[in-house]
Amino acid sequence: MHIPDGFLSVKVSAATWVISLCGIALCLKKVTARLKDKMIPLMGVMSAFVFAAQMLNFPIFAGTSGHLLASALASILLGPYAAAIVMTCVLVVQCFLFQDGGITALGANILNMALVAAIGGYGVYSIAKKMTGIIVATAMAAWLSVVLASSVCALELAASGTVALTIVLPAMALAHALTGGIEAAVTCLIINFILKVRKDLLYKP
Amino acid sequence: MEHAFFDEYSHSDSVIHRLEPRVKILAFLLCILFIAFATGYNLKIFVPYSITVISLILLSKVPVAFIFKRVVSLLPFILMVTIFLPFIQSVEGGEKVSWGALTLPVSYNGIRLFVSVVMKSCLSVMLTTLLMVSTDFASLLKALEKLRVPSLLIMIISFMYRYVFVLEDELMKMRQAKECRSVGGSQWFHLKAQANMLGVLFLRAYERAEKVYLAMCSRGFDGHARSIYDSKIKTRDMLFLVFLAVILTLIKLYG
Amino acid sequence: MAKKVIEIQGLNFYYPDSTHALKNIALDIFEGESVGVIGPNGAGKSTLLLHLNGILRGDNHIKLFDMEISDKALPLIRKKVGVVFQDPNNQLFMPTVFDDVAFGPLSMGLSKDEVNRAVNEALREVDMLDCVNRSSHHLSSGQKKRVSLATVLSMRPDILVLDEPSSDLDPKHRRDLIAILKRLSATKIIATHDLDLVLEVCSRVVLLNAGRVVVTAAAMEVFSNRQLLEENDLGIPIALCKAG
Repeated sequence: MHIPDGFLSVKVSAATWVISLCGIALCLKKVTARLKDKMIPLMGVMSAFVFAAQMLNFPIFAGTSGHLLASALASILLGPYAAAIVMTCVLVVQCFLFQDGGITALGANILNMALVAAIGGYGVYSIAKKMTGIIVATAMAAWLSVVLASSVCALELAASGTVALTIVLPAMALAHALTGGIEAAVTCLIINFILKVRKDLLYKP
Repeated sequence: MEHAFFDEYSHSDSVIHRLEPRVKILAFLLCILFIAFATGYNLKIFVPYSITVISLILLSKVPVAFIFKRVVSLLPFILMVTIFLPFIQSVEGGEKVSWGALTLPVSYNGIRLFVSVVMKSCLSVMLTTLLMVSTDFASLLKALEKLRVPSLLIMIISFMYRYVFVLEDELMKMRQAKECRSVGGSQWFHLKAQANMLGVLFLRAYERAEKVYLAMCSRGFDGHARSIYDSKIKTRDMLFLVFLAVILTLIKLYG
Repeated sequence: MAKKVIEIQGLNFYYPDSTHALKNIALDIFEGESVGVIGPNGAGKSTLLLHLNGILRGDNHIKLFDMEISDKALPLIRKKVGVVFQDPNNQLFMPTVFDDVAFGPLSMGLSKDEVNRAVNEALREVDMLDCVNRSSHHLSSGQKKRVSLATVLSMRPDILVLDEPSSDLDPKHRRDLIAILKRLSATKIIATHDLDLVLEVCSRVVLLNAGRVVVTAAAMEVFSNRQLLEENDLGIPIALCKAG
């Protein structure tokens, strides 16, 4: 879902950059207030964890494999704002070090995969948790985080005039509705494990 | 996990290597901005842009083949998302391609857009790769901090970079241990095992973060990140930047 | 009469899960001493060490340089007591060796020149000056251990606390480390399973078991008491083993 350079118009690129910068600033403030001086080592090592987790190959079927986005996972473990920061750092490093996503598109990528996926995912989780159990809420949050992020991505591509909305939105949303299944399954398995071993580490608002 | 291929060229000597990191970042960013936001379906403009990018690579003495290899490895992903462009860009009523009596469902504008987007992505990848290969990561982070990126983010990224290798190693060792005990088992069985490994990795990472925090406190950490920044911008750095800006502007106006 | 730098009286510490980790510890450390803290796994060695710079606070019967450990005194304590952790990966968290060794001096507010001087001296003491601009993850474990030590030496602490300094070191690097430790003039407190290191570096030994101080005496006195060592699940330094 990383958008390379050249796909977005100046307006969309600039707008998403502005929104993302404001979003990151807000998240930094919130997380600093909560974690204080523990913030740097914890966020740093957690970012390394998400990065490593994203590298893992999950076999789906017939030789195909998928990767974890981990935004929802991060937000259930660390809280929405910390997760957004962690995902931002991962995206920045992926952009520069691996050219995974363009620099001009970084604002949009952060908006989609850090802000929408992590904060939106957590929103879904916290609401669903009250009605169903943690695991079902996790599945819903993970699935929706992927679908929502890819939908916003489609909107950005359409708004840039690169692709028509009527084509890109269904295409992206559908494709990610499928990969979202893996995200949901793996995220649930991980959360289930942590619930058994160190329940206290799940984020408490 | 090895990043040997980046470190291999980051300590060479060339005009590009000797650029002050802040100026280098701004110069490359400028190039990417000009290229990524080139308007319209004018494909001819990519010739002078490509020449500019290749000149920068030649100036840096990093082998062109190395940079090209990087682009080629990313090409499948770029093509995967762009391949449909020629087929659907008929929104602006562009002329469809016709071959004798056959009218193909592809428009000329669609093809132009496809080539344009692919060129932009490729050139931008080349520039970003060159930037990373000609600057060591620590200097890059310090330069970004001086360019007003929040030092909190810079420190977090610095920690991330430091510990990514440690965690990757732990993950790899877990996988090796799992392979040693894997005789059969369904996809789901292995999926569960991998998910558990990530769970373990999370716990170890969390506990490691706590220990690092203690080590930091033991050395007087009080929440503020402090560093020494030594690099000074020289006239020749600014001259380079201005020269590049002029070239890019000329290309944009007359390309 | 040597000055008392650490005074511990009746120290008790409980883990969050209520385990009684340290039981009524009483201990005096004098200036310039090298003290080895030995004992089986789980004896409380690391826990005790973490009290010496205020990371853990038991019921606070510790005085450092005649100073009670309080929140206000912490910055000063951290300057005077340097702790080197067992896993160098936790100690080396900056991008380059220079940055890691400079971290302590920078946090102390030293000027750029003073920081540079401190870093150079510290790296010279551990023979790692030629690696000053390298990144930590490229170093071997022996090199990482030495740089870890340098990260604390650059703060010029009066008291050096080391947790398992020779673990994971091959014989050559272990000998190098012992040589470095013998050269350092700071007061040293070393928690370790490496009894031969204790024999070479330390004059006095504190034997901990199950959170209690079993005995504190001259190193040779403790090591020649086979029964004492056996009762506390300890081996004998190889240097003292007689053939046959």
